[in-house]
This record gives sequence, structure tokens and C-alpha cells, in this order.
Amino acid sequence: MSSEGMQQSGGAPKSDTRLWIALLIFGAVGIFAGKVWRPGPLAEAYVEVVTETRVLAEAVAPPAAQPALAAPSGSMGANAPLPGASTSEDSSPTRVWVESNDPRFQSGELRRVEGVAPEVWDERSRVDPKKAKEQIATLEGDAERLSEPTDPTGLTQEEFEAREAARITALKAVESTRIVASPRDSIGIWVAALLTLGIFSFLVRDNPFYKVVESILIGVSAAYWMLVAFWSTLVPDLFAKLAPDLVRATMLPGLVESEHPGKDFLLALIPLALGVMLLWRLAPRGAWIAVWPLAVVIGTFAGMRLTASIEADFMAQIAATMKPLVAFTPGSLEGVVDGSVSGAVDGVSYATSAQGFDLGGTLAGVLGVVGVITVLVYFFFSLEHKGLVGKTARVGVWFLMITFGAAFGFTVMGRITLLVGRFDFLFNDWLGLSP
Amino acid sequence: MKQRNEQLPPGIRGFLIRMGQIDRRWIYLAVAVAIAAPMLARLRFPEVPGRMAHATFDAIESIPPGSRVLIAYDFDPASAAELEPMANAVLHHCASKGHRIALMALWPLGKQLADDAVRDILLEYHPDKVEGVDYVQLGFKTGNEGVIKLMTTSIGEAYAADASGKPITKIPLLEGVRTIGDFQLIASISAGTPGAQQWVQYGDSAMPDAFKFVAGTTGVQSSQLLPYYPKQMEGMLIAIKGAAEYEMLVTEKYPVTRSADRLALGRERMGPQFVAHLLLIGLIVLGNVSMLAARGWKGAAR
Repeated sequence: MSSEGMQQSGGAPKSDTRLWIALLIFGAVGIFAGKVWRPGPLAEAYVEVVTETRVLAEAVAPPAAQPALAAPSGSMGANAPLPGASTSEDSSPTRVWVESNDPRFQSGELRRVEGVAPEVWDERSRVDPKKAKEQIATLEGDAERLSEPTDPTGLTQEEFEAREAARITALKAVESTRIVASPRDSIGIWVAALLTLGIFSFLVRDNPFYKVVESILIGVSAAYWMLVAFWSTLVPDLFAKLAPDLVRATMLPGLVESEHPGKDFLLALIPLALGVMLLWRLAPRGAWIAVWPLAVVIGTFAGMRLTASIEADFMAQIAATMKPLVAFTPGSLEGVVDGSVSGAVDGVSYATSAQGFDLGGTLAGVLGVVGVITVLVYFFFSLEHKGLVGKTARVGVWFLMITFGAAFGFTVMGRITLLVGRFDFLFNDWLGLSP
Repeated sequence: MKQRNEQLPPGIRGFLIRMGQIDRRWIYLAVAVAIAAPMLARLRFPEVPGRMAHATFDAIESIPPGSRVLIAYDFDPASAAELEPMANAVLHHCASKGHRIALMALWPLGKQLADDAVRDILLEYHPDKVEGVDYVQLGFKTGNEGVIKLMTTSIGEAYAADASGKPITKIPLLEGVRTIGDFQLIASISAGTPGAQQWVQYGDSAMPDAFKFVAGTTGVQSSQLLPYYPKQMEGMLIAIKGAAEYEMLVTEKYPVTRSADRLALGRERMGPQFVAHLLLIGLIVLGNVSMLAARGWKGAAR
């Protein structure tokens, strides 16, 4: 913040006051104009509620062959199932709540647990407000139309009964679909909008609102990543292998039974030991012990990356740099015979024949080769950058500068898109200004 | 400020020098207006698909219907504004072409974004698609590039079951699939590490020619990935511009009759992009002119 306003002390600086006034006017005029232009409530949110009757079921086959009941490792973390997926587990590892018409009852994979009453579950999924209003209108129209009894005039008794049955079935389907306003989601939109504005407020100057939002962001992020690490790594990859029964009983009821529990247990001891050694640095004595697991981590990672980098970033890149300095369009080679074709690179054929000269491809090839050589010379520090070497390195610097400029341009484009995304949220989801 | 202004040379030179000292917050406000105004006015410009968008489109188009395609959602909501439009378009393209789609994520929240895409794109435009047969959600797997490396030898080692808990051996779409080499095309929509670069390093390099690889990337990451195109990547979509161009190609060949705005996000976001770029170019020019005008002025050293 370089303005003179920040250098003043006591009271709001004049520049700040002007900015706040400009922002408030900009915001107020924008919201007012928007609401006049497109009237509607703020932070409008709708959900489609599908009511399902679920029953407790158990697998007919033995646990090892109960694929349908298995929940994935980490299903309580990032891999929460899709809405509607019937994977909600009971406390018993072999029991699961499923829809009452689950096809696995028919195939004999599952059977109902006797003595447990069915439960009614509401599945909620967000619906676009514009689409929700259309659907509500359609549903209301359908309900009104279907509530009228079938006119028996000109119908036989069978036809009348069949049409009545169809009408009642359709009416039930319409009535079971509910699209309702969701105050809970609306509050979520308000919170997200205020947090967004809180972050934006730092652009004017540092302020308590920003501090609060920043602290929330840091706290939530830290907690989130800790939970992700716990449920995605520690539980399925360590605890589940050391004590699968305990984990199945307490954390992951649907944990798939391993085919090699003994081998898994022994292998899991290695990361456990390394983890304990890594944490040893917190102990008052023996901090050096933490160096060994670090060495394992670095060594493993370096080994894994080395082969990948040599293949993908070194050998393949060298091959990709070997472009023809004179390029020809593929179509130009029709009729060229007897060894006049030398090969093809990147779909562009090159030939000793001068037909169909490709100026763009040639320039790209020359620029690529010159760029690689001059930039490599620039980074070659064993020779003093004087004379021919100095001039070549100077050309290399130009190539580097152009590369940095292009990278900066891409960065600007990316950052503006992120801002557009946030504005999109504020204008459409929060203010409801979408047409 | 007042004292400094008194020292400014008169006329246009003084104005230019003063513009060079403008409080940066006015620039923030100008950027906000430059983005908000075209958004509210729904300003759009025609897009001309470039070489990379065509290459990506052709890669997906060139494999026969029914091919297995793996789409990796290697991003999270922080980059969704930039990457979601291209992810939506890739998903719609693959489904329209009749490919069988496996979704996975190397980023924890990528799975939720893929779920949204299944609901809002796949099932919205292709309600006949059946889970397990036409598409499968494998979900998030921790392990970064280790997961890719593992999948080059055994997918079952990385994913014993799909996200709903069904073992992959029981999923018709994955019948006979042992490694990522059994997919005909892999698309990584990538915001960083792990992402497209790791797919090239650990996937494509380990199994060259086994599958086609295309990537959608953020603008920030693109300069890092450009060297891989076209040798190690068949196609590449760069930032919102790439998404807008690709959307054009996809919706021209596979138009949708409802909720069309979900496949026009990239083009919608190019309007404000254009105006904001004009503003930034103007500011860069103004800053340089102001610097030249300030040469020789005694207050310039401040």
C-alpha cells in the first residue's frame, strides 16, 4: 500500500474515504440497478427433495464375497458417495440401509433384516434457481391436471380403470418430487458472499473484517487438510492394516477384507516405525533419529522422480526439439517418389523436394532450434559471456524474456478468470442477477 | 500529495506523471468495473478454435465409440472457475461420442467436482447413461503421482472399489481393465501438482503409445506444460481461452437443447476477459508513458 493515505496517522485518510465512498456507490448502484433490471430475492437456493423408503439389509453371501456392501477406503472422507447411492452402513459390517426396491433383493444378494422398521430418507440435491422455478411451475400444472378425475364419457369400465390407475400413479410421482426453497443453502450463500467481500476488502486496506475472514480461511483449511490426511491416508493405509477389525468396528464399517492380512500388517509396520521416528524430533533428546525417515522419504522420492524426469523431461524433450529446419506441408508430398521424403515430425512431413513449402512450420523449427541453443549458451557459465558467446547468450536472454512475458500473460488470464468466477458467484448465486 | 503535485510540471506531462503515481486501489476498482460491466451486459465475442483446441477435439473424436476414457479431475474449487468449463465440455464430448467414461481425482475435492459434473452435465444431457456401464466414479485416491505409477501396473492396487464401494472387478465398464494402458484416452484437467505433468512423467512415459493423452490446464501451469505438446500430449486446452474454443467445437458438433448455458461458461467468461485485458494493456502503456514523462523531473526519484 504505497499511497500517502497509509502514511498519515489519526482518522481515516482522505484517499481511503474517497475509495470507500466510490466502492459503496459502485456496489449500491450495481445492486439497485440489478434488482430493478432483474427483480428477485437475494441468495435464492432450491433443492430437490426425493423421499425414499430404506430398509436394513444384510448380505446373503459370506463377508469376503460381499462386494456390494463394501465401502471404499476413505469413504468417510473425500469419497463420500453420490447422492442417492445406497451405502449408508449400519453398525454391523454386514448390514446396510438400501432402498426398499433395491434390485439386489431380486438377485438374492441381499435379504431384509427382520424386526427393523423401514425408515424414510430425504435425499436433497441443489437445483439451479431458474430451473427450479420452471420445474415447480411444471409440477404444479401437472398436479392440478392430474388431480382432476378421469372423465368416464365414452370409456369402457376397463379403459376408465386403467386410465384412473395411470393418473393416480402419475400424481403420486409428482407429489413425491418436491422442489423447495432451502433456507439452509441460502444462509450458506450469504456466508460465502460475506467471506468473499471480506477478502476483497483487503484491496482497500487492511481491516478487522479481513483479519477475521483470513483467520477463518486458515483455520478451516488447516482442519480440512488434517481430516483429509487422517481419513484418506492414516485410516485406510495404516490403521486399517494394523487393526482391521477395530477399524471396521469403529471407523470404516464397510472396510473390504484383505486377502493377505498378515503381509499387510508387516508392511504397515514400516511406515509406522518411520512415522514414529519422524515425530521423534519433538522429543527433548534424540532429534537425530528424525533424520533417517527423512532420508528414506527424500531417497525414495528422488529415485522415483529421477527415472520419470529423465524419460519425460530429458530424452523425450531432446527428441521433440529435433525438428526439421525446412518444413513441408503433408499434402505437398503427393506424387513425391523414390526417397525424396525424409520423414515426418509432429504430423508435418519434410522432404528434399521443394514442393508445398511450409513457411510457418519452417519458422517454428528454426526458432525452436535457435531458442534452445541460445538459452543453453546463456546458462553455460564455464565460458565468459564475451564475443560470440556473449552475443549468443544475449539472444538467449531475449528468448527467456519472451517466455516470461508469455507466462505472465497466461497468469494474468488465469487470475482474471478466477475473479470472474467470484463475480459470477456474487452476481448470480448471491444477488440473483442472472437472466 | 498536495505538496508533490505543486512540484509537477504543468500540462499533459504533469498529468501523465500524476497518472504514474495513482493509488493502486483505483486500479483495483477499474479492474472490478472492467469485469463486472461486461458480465452484467453479457458481452460475448465469437471464438475461433485454435490448433490445440482442434487437436484435443480430434483426439477424443478419433477413437471409436465405446472406447474407455479416463478423466482425472485434478483440481479443486479454487481453480474451478478456470477449469470447470473445459471439464464439462470434455465430459459432454466423450459421452456424446459414446465413450465409456471413468472419473477419478488426485485432488480430494476433485471427486465432489466430478460428482457435480455427473449430475449437471452427464445425466442432464445424457439421461440414458448407466452407472457402471457407461460411466464410473472411482473417486479420490491419496498418493499423488504414486497413484499414477501404481495404475501403470495395476489399477486394482490403487482402486479396489469405486466411490460407491463396488469392487472394480464387478463393474462392467472396467471388465478386462488391468492398467491405464487399457484406456484408449486419458484426460487430465489439471490445476497443478499432481496433475497433467505427472500424468506425462509417470503415465504416458511409462506406456508410450498405449493411450492418447490430453490435458486441460490453468493459465499459470500452461507454460510448464507446453513443451509436452504435441509429442507427449495429443491435445492441450489452456485456461479459459482454450475452454471457450473447445466449447465451440463440441457444441457445434454435439448441440444441446436444454441448460445450454452450462456448456457456454468458457465463452461467457471471455467477454470480461477481453475488456480486462484491454484495460491492463492500457495501464501498462500508461505506466511506461508516465515513466518516460517523468524522466528528468526532479520528483521522479521519489
